[in-house]
Amino acid sequence: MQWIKNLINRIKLEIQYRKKLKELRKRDPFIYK
Amino acid sequence: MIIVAGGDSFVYGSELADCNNTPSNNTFTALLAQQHTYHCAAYPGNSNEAIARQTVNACHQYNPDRVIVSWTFPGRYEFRFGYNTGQRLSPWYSINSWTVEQNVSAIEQEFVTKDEDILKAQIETIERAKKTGVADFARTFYQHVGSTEYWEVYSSLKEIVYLQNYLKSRNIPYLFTLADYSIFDNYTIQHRDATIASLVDSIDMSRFYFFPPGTQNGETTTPRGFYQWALENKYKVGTTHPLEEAHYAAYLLLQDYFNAVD
Repeated sequence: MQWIKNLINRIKLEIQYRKKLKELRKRDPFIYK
Repeated sequence: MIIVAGGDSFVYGSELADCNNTPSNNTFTALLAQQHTYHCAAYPGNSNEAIARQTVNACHQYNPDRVIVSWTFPGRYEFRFGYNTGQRLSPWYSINSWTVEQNVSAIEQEFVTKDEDILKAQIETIERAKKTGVADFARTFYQHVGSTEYWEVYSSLKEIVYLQNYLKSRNIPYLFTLADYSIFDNYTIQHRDATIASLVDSIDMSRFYFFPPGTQNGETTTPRGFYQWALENKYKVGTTHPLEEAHYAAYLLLQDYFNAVD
């Protein structure tokens, strides 16, 4: 069962990561110049 | 009088006409210092860690009579890498949410005004980050740490307290402002724990200049940062940076506050 819990945690982490990147990019339209 | 300015690309003057790999003299910070000796310690893409570090370095070098700092968006983070990152400030590097981007069209969509040269520069920088390993590191960092609001707010507040205490301990008069008010307007501060409370309570808010809240429908109703204020007041913008007109208007708003600091 532990592997299922690990998998769920990894998926949760990935969703949180993608959501945060989207939010940061909306706020901070950074360019390298 | 010697004046040091710290900040990110807004203080460096990215996309202003006189900014060609050297800081502009037409940013609001440069205009505040126009009768004085001006040292710009800002650099495009700087995180708040980088802003604090570079401002302290400049103070150490120039012994200024007055300092102005514009804090940037939380969510950028500076690290000193164990290898050459290929960037101008290597091995220091401020990562941001774009460091992990692989899709060119996603970058282009953010441009207010399209510019092929700037887009090319973005792609080259992202490619370099992929080659050196910085992009891999950034992805892991954002996945495990940087994706929480707590860490971005905590990190930024710590840098503000650090620079504030440095300046106060040396009796250097200073004024802080910011690009975006999200450092102070967030869930982490509204529901602060002991760690965040200790940082917030350590900040001398009387040394901050916030751009006035918007009054029109759809505008930010909290105090604003320079970038929010300039966009919502519809000043001309390059690909992503407010141009000369916005800087001059910001200078007019700030000058009395800046001249009064002691």
